[in-house]
Amino acid sequence: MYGIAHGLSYLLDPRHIGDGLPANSQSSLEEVLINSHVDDVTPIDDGRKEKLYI
Amino acid sequence: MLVNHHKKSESVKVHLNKCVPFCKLMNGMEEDKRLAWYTANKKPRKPLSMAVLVLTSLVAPNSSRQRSIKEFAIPIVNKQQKVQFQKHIVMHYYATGSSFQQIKDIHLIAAIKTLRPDDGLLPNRRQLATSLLDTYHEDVKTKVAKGMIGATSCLISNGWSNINNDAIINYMAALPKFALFLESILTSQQEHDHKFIANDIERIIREHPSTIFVGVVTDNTSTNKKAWGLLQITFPSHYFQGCCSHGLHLFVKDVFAATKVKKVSQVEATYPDQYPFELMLEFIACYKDVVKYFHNHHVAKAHLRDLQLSAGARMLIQAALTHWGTIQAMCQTLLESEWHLHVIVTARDFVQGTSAQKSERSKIKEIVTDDAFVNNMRKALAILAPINALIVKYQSDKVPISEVMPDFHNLPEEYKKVMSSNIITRQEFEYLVVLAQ
Repeated sequence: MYGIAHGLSYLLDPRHIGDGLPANSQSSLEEVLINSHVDDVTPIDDGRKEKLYI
Repeated sequence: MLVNHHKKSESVKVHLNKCVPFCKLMNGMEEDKRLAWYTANKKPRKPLSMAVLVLTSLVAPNSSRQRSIKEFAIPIVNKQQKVQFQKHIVMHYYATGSSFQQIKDIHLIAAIKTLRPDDGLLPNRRQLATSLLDTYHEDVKTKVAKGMIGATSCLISNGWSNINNDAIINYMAALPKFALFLESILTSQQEHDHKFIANDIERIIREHPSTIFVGVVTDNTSTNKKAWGLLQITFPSHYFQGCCSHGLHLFVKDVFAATKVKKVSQVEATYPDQYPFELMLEFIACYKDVVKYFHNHHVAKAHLRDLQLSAGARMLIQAALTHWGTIQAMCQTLLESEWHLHVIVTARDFVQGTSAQKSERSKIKEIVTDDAFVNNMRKALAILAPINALIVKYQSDKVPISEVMPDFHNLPEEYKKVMSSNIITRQEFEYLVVLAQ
């Protein structure tokens, strides 16, 4: 009944930071976040995940 | 302070005439009782309001000061004031959805005339429906456009029907501090298919190039879900999703108003797989009949109302599928009036009249006097309580979006408590948990 935006906001809200989320839900939300478009024109940067973790 | 002894009395008078507490005391007395040397009204008067002027002219007719005749005349309403007055009056009609015909009401005209005898202060019905409507519609549109400039917003679309039962789609923009109504389109012969929905949402987004739309919220129908797919291609950085409150409403419908569907391999239409609330569905249908009976029979209705008033109970509420929260309200009001209903239907003269009337009343009596009547109502309310709490919570525009996910994750826990109280069975609990996901 809820969407991706609800999950992402739960993950990003400093009051919750994804508290209590099952590991698989959290990792799939993180995947969505990393692969989110910054705008409607710029294509997804495949190296973004790498840059984030380095 | 230096006081010359030979002028002591004069000095005291000068001092007292400036003394604030003394002046207050004197001013509180009637003019003929004041000391002769006291000089009142030392300061020039401020302009008084009309009400005070009338009052003072009545109370103190012998005042020595010469007043201007203008103080007693009602000032003329200038053009600017008239425009402002008419603006507020017409906006009242538009904002409250009042009939334009009411502007001709003699009491309204008399009320305005009491304050200002000028003619033509109130607009007429024709102006209200034409020139003024156009003017203030443009005015409101300009204000909305101004509010949208540079704002970060979420677009909300909702299929609706207007007072003529024509299909319309409303568009709203939810901004961080307030929501703005953007437009309402009459779709008339246009089918609400996914292409039309996607194109129209795209049109609205394009019409506000300076607004940052982060996403779009629609109803949860399969057509809308298809439209999200099309929109996601055009706007890959946006989020498209269903309305949570509408989702909760569908949840209630799936429990209390499930319909039989004929599946491909089956001959007969059936309820959804593992549907455990068939009995509850029948009970709810019966309880709707009880409410309907008391709404349609004025004698029974009046009798029930008398009993309800004496106990401070609410009137019975009819459940309407399109009106969110009415199933809960119906069960709540039936439970509040359970004893009153029992008293009425068990009266010796309740089952009477023609055979059709007797049959109808016997059925109502049977439903109300059934041993399970109260328990079924309590069970329905226990299932609806967590849903209703969320529907009420999401009515506010201020609910942080991050609270939605934990709210839904908490629903199985709520139902576990209901199950542990032996109000619902394990099968029913499992069905509700699947629905909540």
